[in-house]
Amino acid sequence: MAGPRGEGVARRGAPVRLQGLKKAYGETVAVRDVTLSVAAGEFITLLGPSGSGKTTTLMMIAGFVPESAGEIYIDERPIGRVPPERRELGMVFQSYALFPHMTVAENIAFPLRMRGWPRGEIRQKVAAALEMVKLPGYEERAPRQLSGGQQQRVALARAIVFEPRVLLMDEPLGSLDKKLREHMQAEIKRIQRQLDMTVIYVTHDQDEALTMSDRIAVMHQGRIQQVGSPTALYDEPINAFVADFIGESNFVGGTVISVDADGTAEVRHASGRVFRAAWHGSVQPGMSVVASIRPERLTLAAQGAADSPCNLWRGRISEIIFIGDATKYKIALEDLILTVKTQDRDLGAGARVGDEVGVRWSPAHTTLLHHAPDP
Amino acid sequence: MEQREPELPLAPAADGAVEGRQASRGRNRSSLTRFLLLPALVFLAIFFAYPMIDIVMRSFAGPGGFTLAHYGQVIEHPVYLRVFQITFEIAFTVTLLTLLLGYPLAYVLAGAGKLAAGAIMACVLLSFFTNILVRTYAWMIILGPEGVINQLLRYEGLGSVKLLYNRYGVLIGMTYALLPYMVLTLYSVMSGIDRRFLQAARNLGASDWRAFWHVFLPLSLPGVVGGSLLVFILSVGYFITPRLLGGARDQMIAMVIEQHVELGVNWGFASALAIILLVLTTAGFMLYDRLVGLKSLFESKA
Repeated sequence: MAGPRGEGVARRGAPVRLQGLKKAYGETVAVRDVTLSVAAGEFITLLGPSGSGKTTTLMMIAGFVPESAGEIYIDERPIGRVPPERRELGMVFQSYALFPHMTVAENIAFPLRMRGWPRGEIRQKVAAALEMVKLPGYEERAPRQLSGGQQQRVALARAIVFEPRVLLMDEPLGSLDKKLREHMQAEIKRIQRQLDMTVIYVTHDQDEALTMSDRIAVMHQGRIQQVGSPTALYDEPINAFVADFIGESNFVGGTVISVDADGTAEVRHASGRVFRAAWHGSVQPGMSVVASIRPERLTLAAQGAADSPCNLWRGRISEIIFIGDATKYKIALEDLILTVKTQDRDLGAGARVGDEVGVRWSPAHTTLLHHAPDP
Repeated sequence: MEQREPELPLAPAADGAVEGRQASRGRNRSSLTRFLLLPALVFLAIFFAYPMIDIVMRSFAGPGGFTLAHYGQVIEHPVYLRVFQITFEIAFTVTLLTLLLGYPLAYVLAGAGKLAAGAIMACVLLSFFTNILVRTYAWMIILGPEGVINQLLRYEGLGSVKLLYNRYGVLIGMTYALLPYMVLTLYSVMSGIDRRFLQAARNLGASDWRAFWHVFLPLSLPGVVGGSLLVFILSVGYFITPRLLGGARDQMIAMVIEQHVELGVNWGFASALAIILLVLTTAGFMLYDRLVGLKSLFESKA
């Protein structure tokens, strides 16, 4: 369970373990058999589309939704029977949930008051927490006088002021605009490092998950599909859902013709075209498979022969999309459209819709998936 | 009761020589607003403002023109001051009782699932579907010396209680009749309180009782103020229930006014009583506004 930050330094964060967690509402199952170990001080993200069970999982950890089965351990202690107020978890709600009838200072003081801290100490702590979220001097404002970003900071200050060892965050940046969101992502990371808390972060935004997390648990239909570091999930998705949800992907189906000793397999697409893909695990001739190729791993190739290890298919440009830092080309092959994404603007300088081009990619960047993509 | 005299903004507002598209658009909207308000304003003018003015005039009218005799009569006879006192006592008690009974009910209602909330709401509203007179007679049967309650008490060997034709009867009947107003007002505020505030409070270390006390209760205060005002205003002018369930010593001001109109045909004196009630109630609310602030009614949610 050595997380990426497991250097053995004494830390304040607590490990969290979910064991066979399940939540059913009558017939509908929101969360099924979620098992996950979060190391002390780790920043883990539950990533998934709405309805994937990520928020329900978080609510079970917080104690607001009773689990139907399974157990939650914090610092290796089961907390199933511990009421929310005694779980000592910081939480930032999606809508911030700042108490509208209290000032900023009263909001942040609330968890300390509930713990019976003396007045003077509370005042100091509140000031320090506001300092930490870079809102010093905002004590006497009312929440409704603050902008969304400021409310977000106050909610964060309130969640960390009592120094919880674990911080739960439920889509905390969902209602902020892009610039502010990126700024707050960095702020949250800074504060997490400073306080060395374990953070369990829920979002549906894959960019947010990729930039902030030590590890990501991708959830879909109440299950964890894959857990891993951002690079692992991006480079080696285990199924089409993960490949599609994290980043963009081209999916090419086919039948395995041969499996070679060099670690590649030859796959024939329905159109008769053949390509090579890297394989792991059990791949046998005759199996039908789906390959995932990231758009940035495809390049446009001028006329000419392929370098032997590379796949090279031909098609026509059906669409050119300029997205600022990169350009996307949609390449139509008879019964298939591949997306090519390149940052090299010179490459396609003369390219126009309708031109015939080659599409080249390496077998090493062609991941064979276990499941067919969902429609 | 505390409505202001409606102003009649029928004369077009003095439009200066403001020209330009924007100005004319603004003017169009305000003339539409005026047009839409017109029926209600005319209705109020005829059936509210005019009678109100008429009552004020009658209260000052004597055989020889202007007189303060009617008001003097009220002050001269302590019995009338006593009636005012009883009226406010009853109104205050009923307000308190509906609040004590209504708050928990509205709380459960606001937190209940759809089905349960529907059932409770139906029970609350059901009483509105029957005529108030019928319901009051029903209370006479329940509370009477041979009523359900006393039969039950006697059966258990606990003697009997007098619940009819006294203050108890009035309070029970009025609390029953006015409870829905309190519940509905509280419910409308409570159902607007985001439950995540309570979750946040729990998460931050508050037991459910402290979460209620520090978060829910303060956020529900506008409903408490609104419901109390409504019930108090309705109570002060209540007539049928105290008339049927109360005794001679529980006369409320509306009953005295009725007697002077029906029996004494003393319109002037009845009008004076009505005006005094209006002034006292308005003064009460102004004081309340000073102390608590009615504004909290309108600016609750962030």
